[in-house]
Amino acid sequence: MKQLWKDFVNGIISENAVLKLMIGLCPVLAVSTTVMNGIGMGLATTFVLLGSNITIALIRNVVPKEIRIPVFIIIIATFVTITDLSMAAYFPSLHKTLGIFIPLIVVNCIIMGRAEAFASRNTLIRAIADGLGMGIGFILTLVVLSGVREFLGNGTILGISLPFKGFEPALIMILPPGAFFAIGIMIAIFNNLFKLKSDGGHKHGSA
Amino acid sequence: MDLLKLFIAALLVNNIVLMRFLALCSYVGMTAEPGPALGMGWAVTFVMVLAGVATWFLNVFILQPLGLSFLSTLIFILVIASLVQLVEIYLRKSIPSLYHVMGIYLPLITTNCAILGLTFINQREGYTLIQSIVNSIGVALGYTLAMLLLANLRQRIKHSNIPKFLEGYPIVFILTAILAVAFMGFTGMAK
Amino acid sequence: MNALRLGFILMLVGIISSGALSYVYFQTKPIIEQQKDEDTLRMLNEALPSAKGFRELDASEFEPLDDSVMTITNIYLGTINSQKDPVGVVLKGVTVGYGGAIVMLIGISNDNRITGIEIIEHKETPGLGSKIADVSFTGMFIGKTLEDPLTIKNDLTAIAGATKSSAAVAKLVKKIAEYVLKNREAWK
Repeated sequence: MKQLWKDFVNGIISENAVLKLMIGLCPVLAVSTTVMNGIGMGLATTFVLLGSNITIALIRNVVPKEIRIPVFIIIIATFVTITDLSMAAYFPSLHKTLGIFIPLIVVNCIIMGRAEAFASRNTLIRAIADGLGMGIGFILTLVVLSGVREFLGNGTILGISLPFKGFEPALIMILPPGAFFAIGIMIAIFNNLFKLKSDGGHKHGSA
Repeated sequence: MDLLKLFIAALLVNNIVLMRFLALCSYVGMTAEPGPALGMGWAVTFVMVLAGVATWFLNVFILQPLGLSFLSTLIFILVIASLVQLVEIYLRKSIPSLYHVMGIYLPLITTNCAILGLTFINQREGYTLIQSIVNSIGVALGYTLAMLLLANLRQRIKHSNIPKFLEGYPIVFILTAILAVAFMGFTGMAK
Repeated sequence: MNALRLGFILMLVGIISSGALSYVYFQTKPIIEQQKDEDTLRMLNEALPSAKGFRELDASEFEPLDDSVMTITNIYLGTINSQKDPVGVVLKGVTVGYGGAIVMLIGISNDNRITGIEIIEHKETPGLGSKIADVSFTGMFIGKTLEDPLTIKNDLTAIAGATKSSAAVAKLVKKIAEYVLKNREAWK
């Protein structure tokens, strides 16, 4: 039980995919213009992550090592397409706003990374805990970032305008530069808050 | 003329990294030095153009006529993954000098979302073969440009006094924000 | 032999995956199409509120628009009872704005008044040009007649910071107004 809790919390803080590991950045920056988009993207990614983690943990002993990666890619792409089609059917307007970033979940390094590093090596129940933790860490990051951007850039949260007198939204926050600026500050705050040393300037990260 | 417009739009106006937010993992991960940044840029350019052409043929001659467009995600990612493998094998055996330049970056490319993203853009805009190729080259060079710009900026600030709070990745994103402001100036230049 | 076995497993995974996807695809397809139809009807209705149903004209039934930038892609006649005379017309037009293509619907009643404008698609700058889709901008056109000047600075106001986007929309509206005045008799 303690192990499961550890797997779960791991993804939220100490190995937060976006803020700590610097992976899965693309959708985070691209869709965080409104909180609604952020939540939609977060849930879609979490669904794929959970689905692929579960499937891979289940078949991990059957799949030969040599064709591990292509099998993982097929499984992930399948879950992504299911998400894509279901969103088009049940949430058409959200599906339209998120555009190519839904099929692009397939190359979100978080999902492949967890499949390879965790789900293919651990039991089903641990893979679920890991998927949930990573997913929630991802959703939280998206919600905070999109909240900051939507409020500063548009003066609203979830489309509801907040009554602050004399507050004039700074448009740049919902434009591309604002995304980079906001995530930079957010990483800095996160690192300082949790005393994590970021090593960006000195080491080659992985792609 | 229209092709030139398309090229400029892909290269600058809708720069794949700074305006469309794709390929950010390699953008922050591989730009600590200009050398690797450029190597990655070439490797991506190479694979991107190949992928643009390959997926165009698949899309126009197989997926669309058979009504299998819902399999695009699955098929495109498999095509890119196999293409990367083939290019790697071919370069290692036939052109070792080129392999030396970009070979080590090739395995990192499969999960480079700019390539898959580009194939989706080509598909959704309904580009012709020529347009797809021009768009692929524009996007790829735009990626290389963004990589080089950031790598050189990071060289410049190496020995500067950066606020302790922003050390590491945060300052990289602040630099990118400023680059993005500059690129916003291209908006409206070409559609 | 091993390669054959691996290939076989890979193929099996591929077949299972395509099977699952085909199932989901055929399950969601009718829903997606219904959503699209409802969406089109809703937007047509917003452009021409008095109509209950719409009949789309065949491409052969109308003249193409003579312009290098702007085009008319679809024309819908709005009706109350499907067989009766139209109560108005909705045209779908495409033009180029500041950031890319702008696709919109323009509803026009039988007495040559604009009944509504719906921006369907655009790539204008978020927060500036994107306001062309807001009611505060599109609402300005409602009630104007086709003979009105319909130009920025004249009887319309541009969105602050988005003159080009506003002008692109106004130009297309004017172009379509002229087109309808000239061709409308042919559809009645």
